[in-house]
Amino acid sequence: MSETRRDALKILGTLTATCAFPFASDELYGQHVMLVPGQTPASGPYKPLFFTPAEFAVLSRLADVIIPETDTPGAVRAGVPEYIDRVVSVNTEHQPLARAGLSWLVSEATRRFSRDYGTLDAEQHIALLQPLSDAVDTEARSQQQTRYREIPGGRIYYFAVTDAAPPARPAVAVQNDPTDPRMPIRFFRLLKNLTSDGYYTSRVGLLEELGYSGNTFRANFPQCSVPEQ
Amino acid sequence: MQQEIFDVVIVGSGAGGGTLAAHLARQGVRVALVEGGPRVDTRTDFNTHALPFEFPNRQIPAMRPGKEGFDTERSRGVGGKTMLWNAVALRFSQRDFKGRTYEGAGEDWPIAYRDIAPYYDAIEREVGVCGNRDGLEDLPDGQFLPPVPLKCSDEILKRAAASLGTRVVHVRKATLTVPMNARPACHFCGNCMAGCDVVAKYNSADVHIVPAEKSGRVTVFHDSIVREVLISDENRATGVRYLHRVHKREGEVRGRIVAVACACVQSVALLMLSKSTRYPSGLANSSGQLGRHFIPHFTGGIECVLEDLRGTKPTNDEGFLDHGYLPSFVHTNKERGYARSFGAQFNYRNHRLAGWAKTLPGFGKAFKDRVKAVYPAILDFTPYGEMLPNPGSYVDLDPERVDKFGLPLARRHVRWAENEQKLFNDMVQWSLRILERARAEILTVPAAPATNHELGGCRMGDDPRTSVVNRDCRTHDVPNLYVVDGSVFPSASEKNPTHTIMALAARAADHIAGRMKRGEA
Repeated sequence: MSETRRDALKILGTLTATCAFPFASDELYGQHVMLVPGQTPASGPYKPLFFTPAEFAVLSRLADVIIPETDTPGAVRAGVPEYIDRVVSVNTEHQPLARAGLSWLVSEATRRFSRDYGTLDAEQHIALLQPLSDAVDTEARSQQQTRYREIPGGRIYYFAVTDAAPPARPAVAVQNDPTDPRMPIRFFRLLKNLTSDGYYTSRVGLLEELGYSGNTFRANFPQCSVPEQ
Repeated sequence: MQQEIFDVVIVGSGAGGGTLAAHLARQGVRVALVEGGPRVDTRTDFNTHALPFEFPNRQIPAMRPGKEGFDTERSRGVGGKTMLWNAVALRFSQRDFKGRTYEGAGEDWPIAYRDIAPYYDAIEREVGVCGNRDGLEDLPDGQFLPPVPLKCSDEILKRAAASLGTRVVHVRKATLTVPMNARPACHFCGNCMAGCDVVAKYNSADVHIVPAEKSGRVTVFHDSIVREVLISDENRATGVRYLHRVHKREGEVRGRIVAVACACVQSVALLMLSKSTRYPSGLANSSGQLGRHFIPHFTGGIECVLEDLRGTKPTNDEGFLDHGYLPSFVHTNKERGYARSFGAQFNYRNHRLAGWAKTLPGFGKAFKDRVKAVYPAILDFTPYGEMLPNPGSYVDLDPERVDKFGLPLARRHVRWAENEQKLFNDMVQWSLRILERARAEILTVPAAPATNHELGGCRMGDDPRTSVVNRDCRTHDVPNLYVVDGSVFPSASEKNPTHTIMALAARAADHIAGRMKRGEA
């Protein structure tokens, strides 16, 4: 391989150089357009900005299946459906996929269980969603696996940066094509990402469920006592 | 009214400009400090303690409602990035200053460690740097305040690193661990990188600029976005022309000496914008080197879960972000197959966001339980590598796009050459080796380097044909024009640059004040 081909060119363009802070994974999924405070009413029953009331009901049920009520509240009581509605209302690229996915859920419930989506029991939900969730996880794992290869005696992580163009991300229009047979999988990933972000940034998720305990005064930082191994 | 002519006009008020202003004022020099952003108050203006659910879209903005600043690179605020930095303050070593001599790669600085060591001392005494005296040749000790105890997660990593013959030390930060000069010690509350509302963490506004203003010798022109350094027919810098951030009118500040210190890329951009018949491609660019040798640090951040902490009770160890540091160690191995080195920062995540949760598998109660168990055990581990200069890495001005003030945007071009790729691979391998020893489950591994800590573009050197400024930060072309920030670094080291920027500024201040006393400027 010639020297030139080994070189990798990266144009960072006019954006501020990427910084290790905040962490890439802390980016809230799919938010390119921000809502400004005051865009939503502070009190009263929530009126969805994008979803129809029927869609919002399905969305709420799904969010509560992804993060259910346990000894702490689930997604609905944490306000996750409202969060998702707000994000999707201004980040319009998600709208076709979100709408197609919700409508697919309703028709699958009818087709497979002859029931309204809202009345499915836990087992039926798992039957419907587990294959989608597994597909999302498998895909994520395979992306990770391309970053190392097995060698005799271990595994070598290998990061060849070449001048080959990175794989193009599918255009938004393609990603959100509702007739794509992988649409339900992509829909599940979208909803899981939004639900997780919405839940763990909520008061309930961060304080009650995770037990965030920062933001408190400490006169001294305690010496750690890790058990010796 | 006759316009005042200052002794020195400084563009930019961060680590470079703020330190330079204070050190000049102490020596009787009258300074104009010109900053593109507003005055900001670290006590009241930043979202230091905000939590995501206080905002409808859950994104925590830098500034509190109604507070301005930090909206673009050209309009940050008085104090610059020091208002929001993580305060890591490491001395460079002789190896960092003499890369070419040591390894035949990169570029030597025209100055050596001994030239800057007294200024490291001075900065540590005046800003307060905590740390442990570790006696490492490659990470020189300084005038340290007591170190902060390691977190449990740091202790686990320290043990893992030690089992591989490497070493974790206490991080060195410009954050107080004991009260000093009416500043309190850190009390481990809040997110340092969202501003420190008690000034336990150094920022140039509170520690350098405001005290210097009280001397009456520093005048701050805030909200004044410098768009040009003015030059006379006699080849002397005469001041700066600015655009007011708010009312958009132009104005000028005049001085006998001009120092550009508005952060690496913006300093390069400002000189490129300051075109004249004498300097058609940018001020102080007769060498054609302006913008070249752009050498930002590159990182390879890994996210993982420490098995020993999985499922434990979360504690308030947001602390002052990272408490430990893994100093360079590969540089002693001559067989490693590449030049230069890396060090690692780790455990500097604040815990008010859990964006990683969505990457865990499954859904339902199992997913929820998994996230909760991981939360006290999540760890980031980020090696920082040194980049060698290459012709494909440079800064220039965008020929078309302008910012909201009508000024051309600066563009960054970065090419990862073979040495960077090898170093990147090795630093990620080493990180994974340490993390495996620490019994960590790896969540994400980076596929390519990311840039951080921008450096280079106005290289310092003795040869005017291959560098922009000389060993005193003075431009080779214009005898009363200085550049005092990270852009002058001829080589980047793998160590965080701010301490060296402050020490260089203090050294440049001595040089400038000396010239003025001798009547040379």
